[in-house]
Amino acid sequence: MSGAKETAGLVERLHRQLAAGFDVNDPVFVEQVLKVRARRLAAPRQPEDDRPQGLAVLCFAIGTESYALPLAELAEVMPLAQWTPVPGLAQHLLGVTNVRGEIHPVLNLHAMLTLPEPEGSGRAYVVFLRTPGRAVGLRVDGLSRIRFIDPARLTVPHETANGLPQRFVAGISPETLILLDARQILALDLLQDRRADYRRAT
Amino acid sequence: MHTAEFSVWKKITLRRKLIIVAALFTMVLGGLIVFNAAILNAQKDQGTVGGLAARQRTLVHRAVEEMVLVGIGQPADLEATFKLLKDSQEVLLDGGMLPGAETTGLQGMMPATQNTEIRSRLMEQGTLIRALEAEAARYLALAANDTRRGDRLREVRGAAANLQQSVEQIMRLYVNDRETRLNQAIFWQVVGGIVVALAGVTISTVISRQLADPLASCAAAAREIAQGNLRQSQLTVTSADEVGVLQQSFNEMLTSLRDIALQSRSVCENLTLAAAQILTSTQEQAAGTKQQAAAVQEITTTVEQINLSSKQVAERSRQVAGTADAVSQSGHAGLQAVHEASVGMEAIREQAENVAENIITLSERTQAVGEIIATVNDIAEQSNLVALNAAIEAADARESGRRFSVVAGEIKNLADQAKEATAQVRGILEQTQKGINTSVMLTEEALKRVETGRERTNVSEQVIRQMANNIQESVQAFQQIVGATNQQQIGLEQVTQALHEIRQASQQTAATTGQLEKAAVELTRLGEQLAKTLEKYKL
Repeated sequence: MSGAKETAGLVERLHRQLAAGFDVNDPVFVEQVLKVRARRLAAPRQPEDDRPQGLAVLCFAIGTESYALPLAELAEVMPLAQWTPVPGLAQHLLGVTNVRGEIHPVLNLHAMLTLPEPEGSGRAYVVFLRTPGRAVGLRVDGLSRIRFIDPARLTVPHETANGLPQRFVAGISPETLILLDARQILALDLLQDRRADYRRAT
Repeated sequence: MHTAEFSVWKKITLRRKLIIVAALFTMVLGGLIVFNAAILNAQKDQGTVGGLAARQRTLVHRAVEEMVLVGIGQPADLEATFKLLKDSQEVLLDGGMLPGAETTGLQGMMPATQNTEIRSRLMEQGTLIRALEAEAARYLALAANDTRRGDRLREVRGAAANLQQSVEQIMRLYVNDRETRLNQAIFWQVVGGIVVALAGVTISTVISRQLADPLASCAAAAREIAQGNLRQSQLTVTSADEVGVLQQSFNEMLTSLRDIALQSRSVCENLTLAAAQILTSTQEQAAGTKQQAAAVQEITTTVEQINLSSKQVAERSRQVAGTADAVSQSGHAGLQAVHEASVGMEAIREQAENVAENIITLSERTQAVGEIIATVNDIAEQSNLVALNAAIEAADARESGRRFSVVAGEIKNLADQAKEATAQVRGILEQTQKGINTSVMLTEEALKRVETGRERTNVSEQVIRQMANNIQESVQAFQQIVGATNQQQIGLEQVTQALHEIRQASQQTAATTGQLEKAAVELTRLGEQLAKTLEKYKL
């Protein structure tokens, strides 16, 4: 008999739902939505002084970790649609990509930070570093947001240890956000001119 | 019968043989008669010749007398007498017609004389006749009164006497000749008769032996057969005539008799055996008849019990038929209910299908909403990127881009909110999709259950229909049972009646069996007698 009771309750709910059915053209529903939106817009704005101070950095994800680069070092971000692997180069260089008619190299941060390669079909983005010459791209797995960090509270790892991959890390924030060092990245051998290479070797 | 193996004589039938023998004897008798006739005929000629020779003496006398008469001048035919005398002498010598038929009356042919002595005498007689004639002529030449006539007459008489003497001698010779011939004829006749008689005796003996010997052997064999000896050899078939046929038939008869005796003996043995079997069977039958009577008694009792039981069966069947009728009506009601249930199931199925279609439509719409949400998400993403780039540009512009960085931050916030909202909508949509999936599965399950229910209803309907049919059949069967039981009772009464008759018949059978047993004993005795009789035959 409990089944019959359940059935009766279900029928009642069905009738109620039918009575409460919404429609986009229903003025009551539209008014409800508009009221919620108005309430949100009517919320007080944040004061000017409350804006966070410090170094503005762009947070992005490589693998499961969050990394960051200073906004001042960056030129542009965009989805990485496709790239062309260049034969004969080191594995740090993922390849080259075409941005508005210009060829830019794209570095493989996974390889540089000795992290495992991402899964095949995930979305990828490229972060271009601002350089005097042509912009150099870094492949990242995801872009999150812009944050402001205090450089004084950074923990610098290569003061206690040395060698790769700590070479590219500028510091680690208290939120375990790893701040990368753009200049170290740009100082990679493979990005240098061949003649400079030759000169350095002599 | 192989006639080719026998000679021509043995192939001739007996009747013809006898005819041939008779003909032969007839011919021999004819020969004898002809012989006798020839002898008698010769005797007749001999008589004539004797007469002729004797007439010569008379003629000599007449000639002398006529000469004397002529001498004295008396008319007399001396010439004719001499001619007759000479003709007679010639006829006696050489044969021919009898002379002087007109005077003597004798006629006929004369045979020539064969005897040489007679012939010489006859020749001599001829000369003597001519001498007499010459003497007579000399006598007549003298004159009537001449004295010399006396002398002459004496000489004539002397010549005549010589002639007479010759005639006498010839006659004696003829008589002797005739006697000799007669004696010869008698001798040959006796000899021929003896030869013919001997030949007849010989032929008769041979033929009679040919006839009698096989007949005797047949008779001996027949005597043996009469005594019952069939173990004798076959007769030899000696000829192709009736006797041969008799021998052949006798042999066949012997073979047939032997076969018949053999068959009779075996048949007699079989008969004895069969009679013994009949006796045994009859005794068994007598025992069986007693058992049969006992069995008939038992059967009668059993049939009465069956009759009682069948009455009970009929009563029970009638009750069961009534009950089954009620059950059949209930089955009809059940069928109706099941039919209604089936209709209801069909309605449920249609509604469930409608629900499923609605759910599918809902799912499709949800998917469309999801696609729209994905588009919105893409837009939010791109807005985020735009905001980031704007922030980067603002950072590059340093102080002058500071206000722009605020705008960029707002844009970024909006993009984040849009993204958050899309994420929420996506979550709701996913839950909705899950609910729809569950609904789809539940609807499918409901459809399956409805289908199962419908199948079960169909099965139930079939079962109930089958049951109704079965009950109907049962009702009919019980009605048939009731009818059959009634007929069975009638049949059982007939059976009881028939059993009574069977009992009577078995009593009669017992009586008949006793007679049959006696007859079988008699038959056995007869068979033994027949066997004894047949043992007489030696095979």
